[in-house]
Order: sequence, then structure tokens, then C-alpha cells
Amino acid sequence: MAVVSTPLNSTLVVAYQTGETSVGAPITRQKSLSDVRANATEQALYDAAQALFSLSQYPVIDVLYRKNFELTNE
Amino acid sequence: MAITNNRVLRLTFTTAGGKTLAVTVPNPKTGLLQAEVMAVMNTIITSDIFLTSSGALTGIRDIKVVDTTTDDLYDPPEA
Repeated sequence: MAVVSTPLNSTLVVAYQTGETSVGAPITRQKSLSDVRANATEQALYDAAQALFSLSQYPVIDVLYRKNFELTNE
Repeated sequence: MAITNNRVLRLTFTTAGGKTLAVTVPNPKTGLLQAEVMAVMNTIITSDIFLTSSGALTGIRDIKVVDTTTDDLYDPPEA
């Protein structure tokens, strides 16, 4: 009886800044890209996020990697 | 009640199963060149980070800058 975790498809989330409020606080939005390989390297994900947003005028604030695992009891 | 404008860059990839995967980038830089965008798309294809239900990304299908203008003529009254 041991719980086994199986990696599922993961999500790459890029937080970017769209502007500032009247008091100067940043307004951020998030872009989620699903269908990310569970075994993708973190370097490749970060580079892809930066490459994608090099085409945008919005600066990237954060790059988040949401991994999903399925837990099963075997 | 205002005219708003929204520009996105829509990148469409082909997948191994013959389907497509579209990724949109908000507020693209003005005057983007085809070569610049293709370079980024090729980077993403080579890095092989996506695995869709119809397989990995295989090539570039389409690149479009889509500009949407919305004229909002009615807002519901404040409660």
C-alpha cells in the first residue's frame, strides 16, 4: 500500500504587467498555456515564456509552472 | 461606454496529429517582422515543451496580428 504519483499535463503561467493604477501599483494579468509536457525542463519553459513575450510590449513579471500529479494507491 | 481597442498576435502551430494549436500574445510590438516571429515560433517548436492531445508541435501554420475595436453602446444601470 503505497501512494504513487503520476505526472499529468502541466500548465505554464506567465504574469505580465499591463499598466499602473493611478497610485502607481502595477496592474498584472496572467496568461496560461496548458498542454505542457510533464517532463519539460524548467529552463526550456522559462526560455519559451521569455521568447513569447519578447513579441509583446508588456513586461513579464513572473513565470509560474503549475505541475499536476495524480495520486493513486497501489 | 467607450470605444476600446485590443490587439493580439495569434500564433498557430501544426501538431503531429494534423491539428493546430493557437497561442495568443497580448499587445504585440508594432512593426513586428515575419522573421522575428518565425524565430520565436521555431524556438518553441524545438524546445518541445507542448504535448497536445494530437501530439507535439511540428511546424508553423499561421501568424496574424488581430486588431479588435469594440464600441460599447450600453452599460447596465448601476444597482
